[in-house]
Amino acid sequence: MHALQRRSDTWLGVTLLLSATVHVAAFVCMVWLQQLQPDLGQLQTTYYVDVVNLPVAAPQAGSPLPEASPASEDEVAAAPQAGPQTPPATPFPSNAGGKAAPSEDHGFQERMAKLAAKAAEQRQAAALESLRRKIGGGKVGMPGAAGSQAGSDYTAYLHSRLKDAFRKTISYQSSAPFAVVRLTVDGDGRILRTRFERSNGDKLFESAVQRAISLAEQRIVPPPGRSTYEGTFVFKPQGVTQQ
Amino acid sequence: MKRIIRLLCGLALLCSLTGTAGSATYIEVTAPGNRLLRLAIVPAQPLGDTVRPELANEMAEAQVFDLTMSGLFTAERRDAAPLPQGLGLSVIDFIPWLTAGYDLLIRGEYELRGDELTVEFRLFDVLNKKPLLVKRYLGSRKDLRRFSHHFIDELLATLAGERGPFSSRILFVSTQSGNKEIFAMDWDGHNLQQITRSGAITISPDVSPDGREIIFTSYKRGNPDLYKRALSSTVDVPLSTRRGVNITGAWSPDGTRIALGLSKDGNTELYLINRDGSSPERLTVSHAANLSPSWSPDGSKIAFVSDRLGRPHIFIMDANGGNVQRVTTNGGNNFNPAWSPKGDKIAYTHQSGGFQIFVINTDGSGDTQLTSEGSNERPRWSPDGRLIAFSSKRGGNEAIYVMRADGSGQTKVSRSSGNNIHPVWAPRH
Repeated sequence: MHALQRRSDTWLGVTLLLSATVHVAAFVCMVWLQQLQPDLGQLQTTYYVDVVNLPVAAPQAGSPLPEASPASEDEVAAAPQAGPQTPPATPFPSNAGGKAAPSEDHGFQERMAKLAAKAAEQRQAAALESLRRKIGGGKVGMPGAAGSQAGSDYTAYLHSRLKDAFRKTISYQSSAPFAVVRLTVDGDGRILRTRFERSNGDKLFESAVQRAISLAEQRIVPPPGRSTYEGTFVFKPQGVTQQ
Repeated sequence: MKRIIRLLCGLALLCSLTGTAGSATYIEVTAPGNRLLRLAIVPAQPLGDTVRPELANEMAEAQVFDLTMSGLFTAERRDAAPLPQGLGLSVIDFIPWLTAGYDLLIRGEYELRGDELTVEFRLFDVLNKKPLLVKRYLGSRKDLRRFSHHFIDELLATLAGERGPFSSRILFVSTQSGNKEIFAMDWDGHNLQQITRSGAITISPDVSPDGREIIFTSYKRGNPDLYKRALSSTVDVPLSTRRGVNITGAWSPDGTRIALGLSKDGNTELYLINRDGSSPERLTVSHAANLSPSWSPDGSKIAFVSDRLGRPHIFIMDANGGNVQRVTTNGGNNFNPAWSPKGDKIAYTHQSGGFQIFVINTDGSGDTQLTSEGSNERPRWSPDGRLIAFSSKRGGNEAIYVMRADGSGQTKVSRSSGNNIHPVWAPRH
């Protein structure tokens, strides 16, 4: 009896060890899978920046550079000022009681100013090109927008396209239809996946939603940075309050 | 060890919860109105040498009528160039249909060899340029309309989630042969067929749930007795020939029992009998008349008419006769209850001056008048609950009409002469 009990305890330990190993492996797999998935929270809060009409930092100087770019600030600070040079602050006017500068010096300074302005333009162009490349080339984001409007994010843009399409397809047979749909848009602006998460079972309404999505897909542009976008939309007739 | 396992499980659960909670952002997309889907039907094109455009037109017209009465579509017949390689091999150009604003397109083809008919219908989604439904039917020339109706039933199942009622038939009582006899027709009035030839008054037909048998009350032996007949037979089998009236028989949803009104003990009371007429079981006990039973779809309750409170009103009770509740409370007289296939409503006839059709929720709320023109009686639901058949007198003889469940689209469907009354919708086949 005693020997049998000891053997049984050994098997219990082995079983527990095996179980723990399996669970640890499962946990590692889950963590690994979580890492593989894209960070949806970041995608939700991605804002579009219109690279063609960037907000002007200093309208008087005509600088198209954004204010909040440390690297660009450094470059601007290092670059000589384009345009007419402001004379150094002195207690007296430069021509008061002093001799006029020689004409050769004046020409040399004008040429230097032009060269400096050209160098500054080149730097600004390079910075812009770098910014364009960083955001992603091609037509992205919200077409026709200046990029500075409140809510000009891709979710709002997609919502607008879906709403326009839904007006043309809405059809239902139940009193309070709704459908919760998760959309995945790939980097080329195609609807990669449409998943109906919940609905009230009105198949005609679900079909109308599906058709609205298909209709909207014909006109949407890729998400910013050509990254994958995921969002969840609740479709329902206007004025229906049921969730 | 157990602690470690619990810790690991807890961590795994936490991971999965945070993973799902982080992505729950909902954006509401709304639109006003409720548009009807626009559907174009191109008459079927011929296959082979036999070209019969009248067949294609008949199929298209039948389908247009079905779809219009469904209340979900604006269906139009449209002509188009035939596909050179048939439906199977040709590529359809959807752009003109899309430009014209159509959502859906039905195209078909048929082949007639002698009396043998082969028909194929295809439903296309114009926007997505893909077929949604393909059905091929083999039969004879007389099945032409049945094929068309059946395809629309399947179309509704595909698009709306529930089969349509258009391949079912309506039985009714007609005086066109001189006496009141039972006839059957397609739901749209075509393919009229006389069922009984008793030479006496025959009323109150009801169809068994499997669609193979009917029961009715006939005076052919002088007394209003209840009979049963297989639709494939001409023999009437007496089910209840008790003293007094044997009227308003109604099959239970499972087809095993029949509820009816018997006056063998004086006033008319409701009874249950087996499908062979045996084992009568009394359901109501009152001094008043109780008749016109109508089963709930699940067979647990029965609606009926009783004048126990003075005027005839609609009541419901359990199928064993207990728990009687009054449904109608309006003034006037209320008859002919018909429990909807979905179980939520009861249609009935209300008499206050003229006769009109009403629907009411089974708890007595939502009493709604559906008809107002002429005199309208005896509502009966279609098998899917989308339509209601009823008899109406709107100048001239009484006729069978059909309307949508909300009262819209009231359309005369019976085409026979004489008075046509007591419609009952047979199950789909």
